[in-house]
Amino acid sequence: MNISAFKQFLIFLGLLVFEIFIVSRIQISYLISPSVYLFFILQLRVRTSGYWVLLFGFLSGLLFDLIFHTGGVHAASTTLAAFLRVLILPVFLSTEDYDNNIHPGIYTMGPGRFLLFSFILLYAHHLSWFMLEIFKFDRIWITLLKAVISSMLSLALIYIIGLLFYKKKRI
Amino acid sequence: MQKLTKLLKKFGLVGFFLILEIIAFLLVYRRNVYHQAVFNSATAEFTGRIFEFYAQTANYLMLRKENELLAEENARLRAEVSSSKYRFYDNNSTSKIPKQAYEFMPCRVVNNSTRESKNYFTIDAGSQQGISPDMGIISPNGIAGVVVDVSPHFSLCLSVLHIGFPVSVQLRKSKDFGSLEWDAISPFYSNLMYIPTHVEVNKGDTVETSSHSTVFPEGVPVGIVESYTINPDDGYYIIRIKLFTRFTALRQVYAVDYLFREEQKLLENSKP
Repeated sequence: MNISAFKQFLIFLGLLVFEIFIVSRIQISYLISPSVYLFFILQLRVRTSGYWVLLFGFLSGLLFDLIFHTGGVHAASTTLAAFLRVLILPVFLSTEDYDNNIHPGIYTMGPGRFLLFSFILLYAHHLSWFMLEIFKFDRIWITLLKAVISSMLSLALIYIIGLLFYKKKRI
Repeated sequence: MQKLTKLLKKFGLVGFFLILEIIAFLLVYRRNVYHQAVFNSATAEFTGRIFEFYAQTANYLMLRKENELLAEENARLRAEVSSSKYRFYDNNSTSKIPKQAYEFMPCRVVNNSTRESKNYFTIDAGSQQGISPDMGIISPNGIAGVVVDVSPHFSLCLSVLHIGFPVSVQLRKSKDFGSLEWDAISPFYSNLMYIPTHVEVNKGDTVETSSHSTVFPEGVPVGIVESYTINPDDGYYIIRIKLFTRFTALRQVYAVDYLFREEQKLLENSKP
């Protein structure tokens, strides 16, 4: 196992602990239900094969399904977000980014690009998660609002993670 | 494995995505069945341990809050027992619900002394919380003191460990009453005085508050008889009592309010 893979494993473990013990306990209101483990999918190197991204998404979602006893809800929503990443990532990247094979992050992509990219994925993740969880369409507006608020908070948490654990890149 | 890779290549990324989503949706659809069948026993143990650890940590951090809730509940339950009720019904009242005679309020001891001969302690409730002088203070184990002075947020209480602590106590078995007098020696022991020698006293008998007090309800435990001697000067027993309340570790206490105190005192003060 090389150092990069080990580092990825540590990131995933850290997110797992953070998600289970802190983020999933944030119960301020029905409308606020953040989740940050998608950050693992967000920060995979840009030249990672789409198959791997999908597989990682599916497996990480499945793991949280097993922990929270939610069937396949997380697996479905995380796979969707991973697929969306494969689709939209090229829009946000330059050839140089591909040459350097960067990890998408605040410092590597710049805050603006990274936050927009993250928000799209987080929103897709939260929305599909909440819709599958409720499985009714009669409260769609509430669900949309809940997804907006929750993904905003998740984005803020991911931004803080980025600020805390990633070093500024030398130019 | 090579076949699988070939298959994936053939289907493409979209196909792989759809396959994974179908699996996920099947899991959603079969949520209950699959939990009972395959993964439940394997994952329940692991996740159970994780959540148990979390709950234990959280419980530890919540202990203070939990204590307060339990103290409030205890105060309510103490007020419910029959010794806290007035024994008769009003003549004109149609309901047969006994009148409340004693009320309890949970408080915490914020300052305490056991080294002096006249010991006092301070509790964290005062006149704003409804504490007034002459209210009794009991610990979870037994009597603790009586309120002598109040400020808006604190109350000064005379401890049982005070040589002038005025309380009438009785032996639980025979109901013979005497008075509790501390000898300023040990914070774990006190003395029961003025029990006549014809009364049968045994080591291990329980001593409790008597019904003559306007401070405590009858039957609040005080201590157990440790030893007894006869005072040669006046012919009464001197009974050494091991106190139930641990005054060196006094934390949670309850203030007891006797709701008929004013009425009883007014009547008693008017005697010729």
